Amino acid sequence: MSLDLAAHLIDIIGAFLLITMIVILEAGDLYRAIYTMAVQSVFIALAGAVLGAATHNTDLWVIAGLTLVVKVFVLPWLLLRVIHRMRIHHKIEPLIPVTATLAIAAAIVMLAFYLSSSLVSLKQVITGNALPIGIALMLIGILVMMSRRTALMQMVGLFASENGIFFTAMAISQGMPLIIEIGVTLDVILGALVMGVIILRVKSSIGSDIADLDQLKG
Amino acid sequence: MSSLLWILPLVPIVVGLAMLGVKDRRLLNLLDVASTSTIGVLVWVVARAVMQAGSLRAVKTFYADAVTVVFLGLIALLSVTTAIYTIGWMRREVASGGMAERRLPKYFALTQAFIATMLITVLADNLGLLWITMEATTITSALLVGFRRDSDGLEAAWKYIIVTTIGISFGLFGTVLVYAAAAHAGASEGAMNFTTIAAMASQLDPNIVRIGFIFILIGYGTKAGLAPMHMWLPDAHSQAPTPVSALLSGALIKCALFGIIRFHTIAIGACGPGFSGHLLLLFGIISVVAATPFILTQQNFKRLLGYHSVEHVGIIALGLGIGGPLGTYAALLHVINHGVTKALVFFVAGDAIDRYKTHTMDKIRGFIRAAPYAGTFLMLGAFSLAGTPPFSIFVSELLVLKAGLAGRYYVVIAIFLLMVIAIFAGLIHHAGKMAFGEPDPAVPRGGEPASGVLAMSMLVVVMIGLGLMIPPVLDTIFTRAVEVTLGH
Repeated sequence: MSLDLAAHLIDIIGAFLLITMIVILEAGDLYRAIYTMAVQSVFIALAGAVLGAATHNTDLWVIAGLTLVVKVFVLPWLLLRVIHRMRIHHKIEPLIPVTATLAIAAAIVMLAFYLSSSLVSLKQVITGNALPIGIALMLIGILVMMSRRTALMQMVGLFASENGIFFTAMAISQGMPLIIEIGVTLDVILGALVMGVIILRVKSSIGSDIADLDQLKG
Repeated sequence: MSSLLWILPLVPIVVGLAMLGVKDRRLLNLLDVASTSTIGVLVWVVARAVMQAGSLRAVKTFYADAVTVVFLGLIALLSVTTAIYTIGWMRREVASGGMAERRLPKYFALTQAFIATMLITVLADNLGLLWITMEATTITSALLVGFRRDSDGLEAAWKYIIVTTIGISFGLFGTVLVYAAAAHAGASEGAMNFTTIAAMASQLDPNIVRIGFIFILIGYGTKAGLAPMHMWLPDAHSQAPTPVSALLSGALIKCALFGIIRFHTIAIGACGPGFSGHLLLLFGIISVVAATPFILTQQNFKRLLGYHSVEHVGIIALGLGIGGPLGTYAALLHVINHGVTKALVFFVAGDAIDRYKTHTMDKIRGFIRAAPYAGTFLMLGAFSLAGTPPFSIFVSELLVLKAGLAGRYYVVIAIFLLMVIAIFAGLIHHAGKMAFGEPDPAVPRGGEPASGVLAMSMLVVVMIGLGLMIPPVLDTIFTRAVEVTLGH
């Protein structure tokens, strides 16, 4: 695969990543948000495969496989299990109206492209538009976390946000060192486990969603 | 000698795993003290070797220079004193039912894991590894913050893990950008290593490094407790079990500062001292100002100490931001001074809270009568935190002041002085009311555990010693660390 074709494909994948992110942002249902996050991760794995084929860097294939296993299967499975154990209703009430969050998301995307356009030399080391799209994904992920007061939705936002970082990191011409990617992925899994444990512990001992607790002030 | 660098974090990992199979509280305490003392000795050996050779390196990714030694020293000192303090603290906790005996192995093992992750963070040459272990400190310590499993502790643990994880994902993005800049400038072997990037810093594209540094400062700044990203800190530091609070406030937030210092060095090389310095100055002064009203109006003892950490991290950022050899020296000295004093006052707070069964400062009276040692240490610690001589914080704050005036940062220094004076008044008022007067007859008197008094005395000796004189050996280490930080 030529590098030009790869850059073209990365841009197409980037567009799909943004679309999935918008779906997560306006999702009114936990299941839909989690499944969309899984789909988004499929695109991340695909991006890894495309870049691996273009640069002949076998590490990227490993990273793509790792993403597929961890982010497409393990993390969504973990989240679904927590939902199941909590027996919660999965409708989520946004704190901010959806139209407002969508407007903010649009502003974030424009800001990300504007910011990246000033970094001319990065164009040579990062394939296609992976930099602005990565920044936009990361910031919209945080928007997801801020606009919902549900612990599980905050976790979905966090993982989606991390997808943005992974996307940009993959597209750097040399790729991240494999061992570092594995370490970061390990942190993501361990972090998710600990978050899940805290959520379930609060649910079982106090009977409420942890994101609703606000005793600590001042 | 250089293999010590990976043996060092291995000590708490091995001991921590062994602890999982031990049920006896005394044996666990013994292992805890033995492990941390071993770390102390090894750090001393590493420090000597670094002073002789300039730097040490092991297996590509582990690296120690004078900056590392400063932070290693702080982690080692606080780990040892915390382990000693835990002996008496844990005996009371178990007796009062605050900690179930069967959960002790897990508590001690997690503490060892927490110490190991902090050690690797400051020993990492690879900036990716630095990020990974920094995130690992969050994961291990979040479990410790919520260890009591009550609703406040769990709420604090949740806020802590979610806010700092999202925060330091900014740090990962910044790391990726700086790595891309190094890759663009032609680095191949070890393009993620701090030493490689710092050596070629002048060839990096300054625009990329600028954006990268902003991400790093927001990311690691969240973990360090710089305002306005500090909202989780008073919660986590007040809800954690007291020995953990001491490590969080004294050592962990300094590890995040270590990450910022590494990228500050790179940014100085790539864009000159102005850019990263001014950003640090800005966040520093915001932190000092933002913490002040909360310190003045605070009613909860441990939350008060949490807000003080925000203030003092701000002062460290101010020192780094003012920069130059003097400002940077002041900042690094303040890392040690604040860590030592803050661990001391958290130990004192732990005793007071157990004795009076309350976190509310208004309900604590006559602490010197009830606990002569801890009560006296409370006053000493408060005067030190408030920045009065002859305590060590006075020295580093004075140096920040001198550097600021020399650099003509008059407005910043004026704001800084105003806040420090207000905080002085508030803190002495709080501490005086707790220390003096007649305690309620129901409050138990005396019976201070020898281990607690020993741990606090060790910290007081350092706190006063560094206030009176900086030993030539330490001065050499700090001077070298300043040179490394400024990229000389």
